[in-house]
Amino acid sequence: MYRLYRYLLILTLLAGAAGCATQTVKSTTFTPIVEDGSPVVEEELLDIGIGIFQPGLDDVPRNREELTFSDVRMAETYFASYQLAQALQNSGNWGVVRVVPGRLESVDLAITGTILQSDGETMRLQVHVQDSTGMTWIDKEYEEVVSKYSYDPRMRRSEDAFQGLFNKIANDLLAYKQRNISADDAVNIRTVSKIQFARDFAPQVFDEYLAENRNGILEVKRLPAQNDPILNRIENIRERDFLYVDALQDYYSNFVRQMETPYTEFRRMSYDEVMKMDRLAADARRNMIMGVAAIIGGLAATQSNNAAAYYSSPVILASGGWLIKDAFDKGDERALHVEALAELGNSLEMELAPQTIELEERTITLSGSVEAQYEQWREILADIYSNEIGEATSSEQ
Amino acid sequence: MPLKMTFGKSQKAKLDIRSTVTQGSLTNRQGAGSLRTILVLGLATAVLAGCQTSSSSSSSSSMPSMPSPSSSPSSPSTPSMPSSSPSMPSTSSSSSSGSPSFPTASSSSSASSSSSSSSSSSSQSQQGGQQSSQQSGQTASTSGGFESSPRSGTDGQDSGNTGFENAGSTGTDGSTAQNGSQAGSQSNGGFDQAGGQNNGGFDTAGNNGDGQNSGSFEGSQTAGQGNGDDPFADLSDGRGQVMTASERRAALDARLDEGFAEFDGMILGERERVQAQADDAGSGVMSGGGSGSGNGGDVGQPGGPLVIASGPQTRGGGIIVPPTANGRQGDFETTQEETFPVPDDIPPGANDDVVARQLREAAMREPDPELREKLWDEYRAYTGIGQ
Repeated sequence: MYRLYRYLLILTLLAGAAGCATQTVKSTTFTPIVEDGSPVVEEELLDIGIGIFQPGLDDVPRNREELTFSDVRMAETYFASYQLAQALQNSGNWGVVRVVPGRLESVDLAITGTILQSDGETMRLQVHVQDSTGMTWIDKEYEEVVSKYSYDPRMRRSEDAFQGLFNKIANDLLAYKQRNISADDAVNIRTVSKIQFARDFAPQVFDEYLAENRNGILEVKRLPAQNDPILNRIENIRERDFLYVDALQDYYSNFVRQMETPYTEFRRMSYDEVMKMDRLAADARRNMIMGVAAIIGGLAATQSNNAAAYYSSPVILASGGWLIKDAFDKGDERALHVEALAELGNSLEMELAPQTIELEERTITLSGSVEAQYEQWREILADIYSNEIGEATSSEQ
Repeated sequence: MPLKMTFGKSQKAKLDIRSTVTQGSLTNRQGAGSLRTILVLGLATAVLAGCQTSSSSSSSSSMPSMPSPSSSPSSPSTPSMPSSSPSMPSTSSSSSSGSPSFPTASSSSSASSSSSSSSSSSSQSQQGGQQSSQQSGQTASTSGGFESSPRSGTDGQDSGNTGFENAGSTGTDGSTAQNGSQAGSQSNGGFDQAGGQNNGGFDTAGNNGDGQNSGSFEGSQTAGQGNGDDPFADLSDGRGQVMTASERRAALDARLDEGFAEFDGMILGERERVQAQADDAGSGVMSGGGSGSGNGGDVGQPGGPLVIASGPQTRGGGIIVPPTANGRQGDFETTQEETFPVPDDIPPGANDDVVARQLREAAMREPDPELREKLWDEYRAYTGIGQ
């Protein structure tokens, strides 16, 4: 009798443990954007450049590989970068916020990141923020788990399902700035970024204006004259660079607008699929454990001298067998959901891949033309500088 | 003195002859001596005349080369003329004994003043720093030098050779030649100054010009990836002359402005194109939640309808979404499209869910009557009308 009670107690504990493992609490809290209450002077407003996020395909967890689609992830990099830029721009705490491919050295604040996980339920980003002097502001991982209400049309806002994640990043950025960056620091950052840009076009002139200290932080050694003709020319070039970046924003904006609907729908469906998959996986795991335990207990009961245990052993064995069979069935059902999700992903890939390729082609074409023009301007500036140096030498002599 | 001798006629004749002979011999003796003297004097004169003839011929040959700034020095007495200053005036060397009118203090001062003026003109030409200025400087210095050199050449002939040689040889460093006569030294000093300054000035101008040219070409060469070509060589095309520094800078600025205009046009064209594409795609269309899965969208079950808003999908007698121009259909079509009347048995769709609303809108926009009727049938089946 004691052995029977002991077996039943073990089975009960196992069942309870398996059940507790599937307990998940979802929060529907939405992180709003925080605005800086005090007005910021124009000279202290920092511009932000966000690099296109890395797809992170090499860091996909093993259990999520079947939920990750490369073309969808590539499109998500543009989407996430653009959404973060929108969040920062809408906060009103910063200057111009743009998604900038490539050069980030001449931007006041440069944000780079990697998408570690992105399905309908969870988004994880590794975010790195650094100013033009080389000082790192933020380097941490952000994660957001949404509930089904994020996709409920009745409760859904016009914002993205993971808008809270981007708001959280923006709020952390503002908090860091308020704690650690003074007005002079902000002006210094702007100056360094301006000289960085000038140095890119006229290194023979502006190389000596910046120096790196032993901590790897750039410091301003000299300031160019306000009426420096070379600097005035570079200012004109910088205005054109802003135009070029704005043109790229049009590309990204169009792309996001085109992909938003199918991508949002994909995330909603993938959320359902992921939830079901996770639930089925948990159920299968629990049933497997209980089934194995029941079979063990039933086998042990057949050896028992207790009549109750002996006669209940077939029931226990049958229960165990049924639980194991159910575990396999749930596994098969989960596989169906995986296939359905794969079909969703393939369908979305087929739609997004041409748009992504077109965006990349346009971006590369425009960037190539711009870089070629920049190279011509660098040559002209070098020649102008040599001309002026030669004049100065001859006048001195 | 004939001897009065009382000799006979023969003796007298003999005496006469003898006296004549004596007188002739005496005369002969006297003539021979004078002849000798004459010969000696003649030889000396010839020698002196020959010297004068050679000196006068050399001075006359150098005169025609004055106007030519690039003429090579023709005087063999000036072998040490610097090669870097080919336009240096090939001034003549003059012998001190050839001409009686050698430079005086006034003439030497005038020569020095003219040489100083030429040096000032050459120094002014240095400031140009370009080849054109080189040439002008050269011309100025050459002309000034040529203007001064004849005077110094003609006026300072007493030590002109030596002085010019010294000037030629030491022109680069402008050292003063040492001469015997003050006039010569002054002229030579002046000429040396002129020569030195000319040389120095020319060298400076040449060096400046070369340096500037090389610097600018270096810059352009550097910019041109060191291929030795000036990428901005076409700036002076059609001008027929080398540009000054300010002109080159102005031309480069103009090219920079052209690049700006071209860049602006390119960017604006791109933005207009993107904007047009956005307008064509219907940037004002909100197509969120365009999926038709709805309540029956459990894709885990075989045969369940699966509709993605991107394109027409049908599965197991499910929903048929007619394709639109862009292959997508949204819930909230705000574009002005032709709509067809709703059948009488269809109630207002205020309580429609997403799927029913999509069916209604698709049916209302469908121009094909048969397809439109099928869509209404699907709507009736989905909403349970008539069941």
